[in-house]
Amino acid sequence: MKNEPIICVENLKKTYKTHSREPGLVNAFKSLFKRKYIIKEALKGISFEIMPGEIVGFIGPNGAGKSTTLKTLSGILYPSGGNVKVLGMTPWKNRVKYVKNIGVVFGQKNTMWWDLPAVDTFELNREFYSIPKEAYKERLDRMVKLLDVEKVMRTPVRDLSLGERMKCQAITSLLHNPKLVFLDEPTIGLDIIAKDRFRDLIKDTNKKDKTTFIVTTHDMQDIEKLCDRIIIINHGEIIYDGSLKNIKGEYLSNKIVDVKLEEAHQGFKLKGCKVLKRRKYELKIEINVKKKSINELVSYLLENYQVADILIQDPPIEEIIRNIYEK
Amino acid sequence: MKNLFYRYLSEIKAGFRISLIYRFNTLVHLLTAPINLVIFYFLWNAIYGYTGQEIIRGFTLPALISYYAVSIIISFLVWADIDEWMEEAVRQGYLVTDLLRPINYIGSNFFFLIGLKLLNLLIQTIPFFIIAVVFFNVKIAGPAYFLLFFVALFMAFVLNFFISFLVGLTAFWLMKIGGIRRMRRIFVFFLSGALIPLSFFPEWFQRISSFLPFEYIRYHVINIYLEKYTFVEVLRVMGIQLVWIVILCLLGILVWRRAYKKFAGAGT
Repeated sequence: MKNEPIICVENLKKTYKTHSREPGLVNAFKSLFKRKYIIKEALKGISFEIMPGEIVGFIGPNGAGKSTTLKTLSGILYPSGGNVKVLGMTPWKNRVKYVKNIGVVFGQKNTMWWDLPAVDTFELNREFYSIPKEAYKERLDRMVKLLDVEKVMRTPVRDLSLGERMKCQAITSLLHNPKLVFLDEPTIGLDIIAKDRFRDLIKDTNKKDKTTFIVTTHDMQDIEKLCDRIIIINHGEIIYDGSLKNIKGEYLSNKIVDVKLEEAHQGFKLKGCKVLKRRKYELKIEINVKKKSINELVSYLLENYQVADILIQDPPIEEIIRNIYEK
Repeated sequence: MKNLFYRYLSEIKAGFRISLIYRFNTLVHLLTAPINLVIFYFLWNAIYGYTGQEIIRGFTLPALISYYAVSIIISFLVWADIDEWMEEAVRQGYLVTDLLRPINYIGSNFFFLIGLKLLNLLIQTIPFFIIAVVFFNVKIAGPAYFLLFFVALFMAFVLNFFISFLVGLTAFWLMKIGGIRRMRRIFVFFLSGALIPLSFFPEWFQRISSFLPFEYIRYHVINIYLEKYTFVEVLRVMGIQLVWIVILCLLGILVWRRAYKKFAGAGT
């Protein structure tokens, strides 16, 4: 393999020092003289590698350390320990040289000129990143069409809705054709159609230019539709790193079975199964596949009832992730 | 090098475009400036009349009015509130996005400000200058002094930029710097000679002030326009301006590095 990883993170640590105080006026006064400091470990030594051309979903509950990691990788946060190599550089050394090679959409932060229409920011960035005119025009046309911002981009950014702004923001981060793009909650504020189009844009760019994407999101649809690989982080530690398929294999112990019956059922009882919904001609059963096989359940059903239809499903991905977070 | 040039050029353009949006605000200043000048005229006309003197502290009445007119032009072109932007950027957190742009932070602020000032030059300074010449009998300086004035004016701009920038940097530690900003404004205003020329201050005060950078933002620059200095004296003023620029620039770079590390949470 001559393919080198584009991101190489080794034992990355970050601790913050903040002060805490009890509520109230007296305590506010006390804290003027004596401060209690708390050391907060945001990252407890995480390691991972990302190969060029990957789309990696970076997920975790609030305060898990996602943003800290992303900020360190984009060079605006100094780590407390560990090694990071991105595109062969150490991000927080020589910031100006480094950030030229990356694109960033940071949550709801705006990187466009607030008082100017977005198209002005695009145009200024063309000069700023010295993007060749033809390549610029081609990329811009493609993205404008895909995200449908022809009109929107001619309005001052301050007058745009959150969703409209996010679309323009995405274009801003991709215009200079960076090799690596960090998207921190990029689909916030987008409607269903816009979300789809946005995902298309990412997939398309990934395929066409071999752009590597790292996406943090709370929208599991983003993950399912975009990412081949996910990294789950919680309490500053990586708790899962692998494909979405494997996570189902590894963490999924339950399946949902919907059964429709020809006749009214007499009552259902089987070890390892839980009835979620019970109607006259309908049963919704949750089965723990570690205790009971699907095979056994289906045979039991066929033996005892006149079955009209059976539907076997995985629980939604949200549920799986919730289980992992709560562990 | 070429790329760097384009990057700074695009900062200037951004500043210029934004100033175009707020052109009305800029035009209002054009209206208030002559009012300022009229008030100064009334005040000093009364003082000269009362004392019955032709020259007070080296200024005739027309010279003093010219002094204020040039002073207003300097305010148009030199005044900068970068410290205010920086405080906002630190407090609101959008400094992060500034840092994600591949450009030197000090340089980008500097050239953006130049872009903002370009419109002031066109729609404030030039019309006001014409008003001052026509209605207030401000005399047009000789070509040599006019040119020297512009050089000194640019250096004053740079000098004031770095003072404001250094004040802005304190926001990285203090978060709220309204008080310090106000102090900076007052210092620059009084000690640069915006209210009264420095020659009106007592001797001891002038001596202290000469060790500070503020009077090189305005007082001496105006005196160059008024042709009060010989060429050697002009060179001396510019030399001191340059020394202050170098000192404050180096200090700015040094403190900026520490501020950036503080912001990025180095050493925790």
